[in-house]
Amino acid sequence: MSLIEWVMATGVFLSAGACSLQIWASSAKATQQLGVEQRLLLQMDGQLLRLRAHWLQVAASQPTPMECQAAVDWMLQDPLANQAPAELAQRFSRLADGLGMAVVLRSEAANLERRRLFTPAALGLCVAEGVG
Amino acid sequence: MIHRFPKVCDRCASPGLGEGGYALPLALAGSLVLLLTALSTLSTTLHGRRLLASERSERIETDALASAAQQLTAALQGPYHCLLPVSLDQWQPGALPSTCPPALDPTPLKTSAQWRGQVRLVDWQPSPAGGELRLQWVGGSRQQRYALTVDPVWRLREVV
Repeated sequence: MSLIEWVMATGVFLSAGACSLQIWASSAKATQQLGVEQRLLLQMDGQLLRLRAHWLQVAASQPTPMECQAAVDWMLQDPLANQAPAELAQRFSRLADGLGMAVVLRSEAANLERRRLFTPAALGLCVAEGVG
Repeated sequence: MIHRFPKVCDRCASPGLGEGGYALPLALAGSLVLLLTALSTLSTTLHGRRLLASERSERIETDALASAAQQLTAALQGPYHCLLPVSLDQWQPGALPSTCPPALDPTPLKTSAQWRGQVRLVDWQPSPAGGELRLQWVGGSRQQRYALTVDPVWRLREVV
């Protein structure tokens, strides 16, 4: 066997190995990022479900429904609803018509954001004036 | 009696080349295996990324549909309360129930601008307990139904 053949074989194998290593490294990094994003999406799902369940529970336990604007005020200040998982930033804002609020969940780490509206009327927390 | 074939070439029979020649094919085969494995890993990752992108879009649609349903409920309890016992095909200006204010226009309820898209009200069917909303994400085929109950308290829930 000639020296040239050995040199060529080593060169080919090392090049392929280096190339594969780079692909594996980038795949591993991307897979890890995917896992993080997936987990954050599930955390956001959980937080939205938790908020809805909490408000439904409050609505079920209150003897008489509030007035709708007052119910939105209460939802915005509700201390239990203002607790969010550590990795998520949660922000509440009142809707322009005053009949509901927007919940914005954001994760800077994965550049993920979700926005969902809640109205006390749909949660059983309030009754509009003139409605029995 | 032993027959001997004549030698085709003298150099071919030399020990140096006769035993060798396997290093390069072996390296090529090994390299191919390495590259194929790496490419397979990469394709799995790309597939995962595509799935996640699809999940993100799905969540955006879910949020928009749920938000629109909440807003519609508030509207039906508030200024559009007179539309509650009337099905969607009767939500036409000029053909509304006499309980509605004369200037009431139900058109804004039929399409709702949400974050990153629009939602269309496809159907509203009243029932003695309240009614059922059917909403569609504009630009897609996804639809979602929501049941509204009004007695004893107003409550909206997703119909699976």
